[in-house]
Amino acid sequence: MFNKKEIVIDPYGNEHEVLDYTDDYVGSKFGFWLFLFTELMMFGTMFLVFSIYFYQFSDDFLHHSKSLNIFLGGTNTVILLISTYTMGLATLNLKKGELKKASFMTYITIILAIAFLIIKAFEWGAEFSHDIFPDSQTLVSMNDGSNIFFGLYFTMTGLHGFHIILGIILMLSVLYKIKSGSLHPKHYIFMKNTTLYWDFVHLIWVFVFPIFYMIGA
Amino acid sequence: MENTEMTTISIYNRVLLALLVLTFLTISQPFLLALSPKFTIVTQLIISVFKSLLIVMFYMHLSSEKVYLKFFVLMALIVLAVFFVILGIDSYYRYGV
Repeated sequence: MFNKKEIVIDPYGNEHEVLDYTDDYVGSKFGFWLFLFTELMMFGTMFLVFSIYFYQFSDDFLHHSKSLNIFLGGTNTVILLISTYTMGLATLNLKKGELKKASFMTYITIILAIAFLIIKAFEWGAEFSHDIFPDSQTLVSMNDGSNIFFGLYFTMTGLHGFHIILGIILMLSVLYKIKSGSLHPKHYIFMKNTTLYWDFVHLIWVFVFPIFYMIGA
Repeated sequence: MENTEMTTISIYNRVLLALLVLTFLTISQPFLLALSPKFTIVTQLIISVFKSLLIVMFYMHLSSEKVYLKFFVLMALIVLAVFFVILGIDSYYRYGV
């Protein structure tokens, strides 16, 4: 094995070794923000579609919004809110070198994320039990506004739920990396980006919750 | 270093409290203050914008990031806003939404 080095040359011709060659914190963070922008565009398009159809089918959207369970949706909002807090604390603990605390906080975040998914599964189950799901007999027999409302509801909460699952996988990777020693106070960009991702998932829910659950309350 | 971390935890705690209060307002608004659907939506979205600002500025640490990253985030939001305006106008005139 040979050690690769990156050398920069200053205006006077002096060579300097780039010390963070395999640990480009700024570049990794900036790259991750770029990824988050693509996510923003994807979810942004869905919010746009929701806005246009809400304007067109306001009465149907308000009527079906009433049928969603505010208590379960609100509970999920609080769960996600606390999970971003615990994930933030995990990153702070890692930066301070408190690896056990960092792992513990990450475990708590994973448990909260799973709780979110379980509650969401109950909500979807309630809709399914009323024969409300994309292309179901009941939904097909309803008007366009109802179909679009529930189509958007299942698409947006489903895509958000998929992001929650990806977040859990990332957090499990964080735990593995802490255990294997590849995440430590001097090299924690993976943890930082996972936390950014989790905050973004929370951010999306901050808008998903009111537009589906609260507009008809 | 230690002081900086303590300050950050203190900020985290305060942001958590603020987010919990705003979430309570989100859920209780229609029951405490009965508004027309149009104003309910506007109120809900205003609360959401405040919540998202807190998350982005303090949990995602944008407030302490360099200017280029702040500018980048601003540009992304402007691009999204342009999409919204152009496609909104297009929908309005194309389909009479």
